[in-house]
Amino acid sequence: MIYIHTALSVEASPIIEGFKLKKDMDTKEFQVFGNEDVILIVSGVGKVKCAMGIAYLFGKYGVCEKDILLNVGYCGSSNLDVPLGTLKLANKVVDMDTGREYFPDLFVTGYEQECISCFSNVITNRKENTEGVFVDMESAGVMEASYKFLYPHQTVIVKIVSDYMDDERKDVLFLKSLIDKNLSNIEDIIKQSRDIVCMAQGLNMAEEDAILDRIRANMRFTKGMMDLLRPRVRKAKIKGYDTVSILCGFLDSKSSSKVERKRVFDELLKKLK
Amino acid sequence: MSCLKNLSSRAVHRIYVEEDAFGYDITRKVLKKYSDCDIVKINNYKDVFNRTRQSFSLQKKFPQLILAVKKDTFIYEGSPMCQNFGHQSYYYATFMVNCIFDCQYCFLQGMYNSSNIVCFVNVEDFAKEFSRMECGSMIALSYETDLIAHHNIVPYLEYIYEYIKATENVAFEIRTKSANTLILSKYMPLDNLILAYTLTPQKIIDSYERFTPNLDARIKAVNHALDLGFKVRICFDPIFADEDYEEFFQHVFEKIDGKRINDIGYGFFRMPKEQYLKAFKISDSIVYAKDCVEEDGVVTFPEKMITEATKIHMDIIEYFVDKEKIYIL
Ligand code: SF4
Repeated sequence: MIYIHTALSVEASPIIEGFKLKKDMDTKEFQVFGNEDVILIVSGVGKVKCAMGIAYLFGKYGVCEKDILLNVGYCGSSNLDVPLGTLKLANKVVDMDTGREYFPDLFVTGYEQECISCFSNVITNRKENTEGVFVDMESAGVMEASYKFLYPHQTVIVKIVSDYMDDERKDVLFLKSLIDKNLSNIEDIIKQSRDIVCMAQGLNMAEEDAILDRIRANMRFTKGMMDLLRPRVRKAKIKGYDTVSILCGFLDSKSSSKVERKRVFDELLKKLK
Repeated sequence: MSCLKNLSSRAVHRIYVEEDAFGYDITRKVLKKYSDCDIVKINNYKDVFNRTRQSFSLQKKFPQLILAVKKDTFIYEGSPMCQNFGHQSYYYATFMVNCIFDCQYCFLQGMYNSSNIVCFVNVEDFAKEFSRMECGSMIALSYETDLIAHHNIVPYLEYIYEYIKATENVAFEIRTKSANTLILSKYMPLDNLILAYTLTPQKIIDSYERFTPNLDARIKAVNHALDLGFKVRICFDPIFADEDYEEFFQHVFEKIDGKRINDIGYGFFRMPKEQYLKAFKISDSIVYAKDCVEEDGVVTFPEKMITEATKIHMDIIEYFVDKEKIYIL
């Protein structure tokens, strides 16, 4: 699943339109939109709301090693030479309240990579002490949630320069256009992230685990037995055995007595040897 | 700021640099060499290196460097699972942590959360400790890494050679699988410097030692080092008791004159149980499907297999190398 987090509706709406996402009417706590591949949440501004929103998403929809978390949002720049609408990826995030540094494992290429300084309030002073020249209000919250639930290569922080840390109010259409113009880049970042996540996948034991769980229930194998069995199945798979077929051969077995349970267990171990 | 156009596998693409590391010569050299890399300033290397749940395999594919200043301990006492080659005490120094090579049996597989390569830049602090070591001890300099293989990234030998030379009463071992013969020509052999080459059958190299040079290239490197007058140790370590080695030993000693070798290290695959279990979880290598057993917290081959294989192997090795030069673990 591709999880996209934005703080504001104005950041979300070009993505919702571009990816043809539908509103999840069952969710009241946050605005959530999605299709079969993508789920987007609008969390509200600030790192706390952002971390809460992401934790909510993961709690509701589940999260695994194949998922990707993208934070798409505006950032301010103290460097007037950086054109508005420029897309940056964070290779480091500093929480300016705590000084804590976060590091996504960024393997996406083709985009400029920067440190993002994350503040709790709007910064309108370009002389503010920041690390680097880019500031936002969510990236530290994204990283806090990411460190809890994900591998650091599963998170990408995408920032689009929307202002020069001044008080000037921007027109909503203009703000939307900044995201709109970067939609194809966002799509590319998602594609690259998918490839990266696939590369990181180890031996897939999901099918074996599911069958093992059924065998366990039927046979009433103890925890100790399962602790012995699982690594044996993995070893057998590494050796090239057709572990799914071997396990399927035991799906019909039922435990009628302790003796029978032990007999089936030993037979299974023998087949995996 | 950096814009990485092409993330080619195996090329360093990002360097994390500790704030304190910027002032060191090694850092300046590395940053100059990798001027098109993404440079990320960090407070403490552990903030990057010790993150939980990192993908060891992904980081192996796309290695990132971390330049840091080592604090506190510079020399560690060697593990009983390592050979001391007759020295009264055995120590190791970790100038680097992790390795550009990817040997699936390597204890690094289960040692750290990350496979990013940490390079400590304060070499002088390590070197100061050399002179404090007791006379007759041995320090392994290429312990959690392969120092020579990384020479093109960080030329540590350039920085430590003079210190090794000055610490005559301590033996220094640099263990490698590298076939880089060029760098040795720059240095004079030293009585207290031993170059230890790990040789393994080509079949094992192909199966378990990703990105390492082939056997014949390593043999060539051994002969080159011998020709230059270096003391050379050959390490047949790890041995896999379920594989054939007879032809391999014959081949090695057809190409290398056993009489010129300083000594031989010989040891079977072994790994502390904890690390083995961690590696088992993340690796899909056949190494972790072998019929090993656990004894006293160490996972290795069953004693019977080891005894039988050792006998067969020693019959060959002892034909070429004096028995007293062979150290078996
Ligand atoms: S060369 Fe040595 S340190 Fe490097 S991966 Fe192989 S065994 Fe480990």
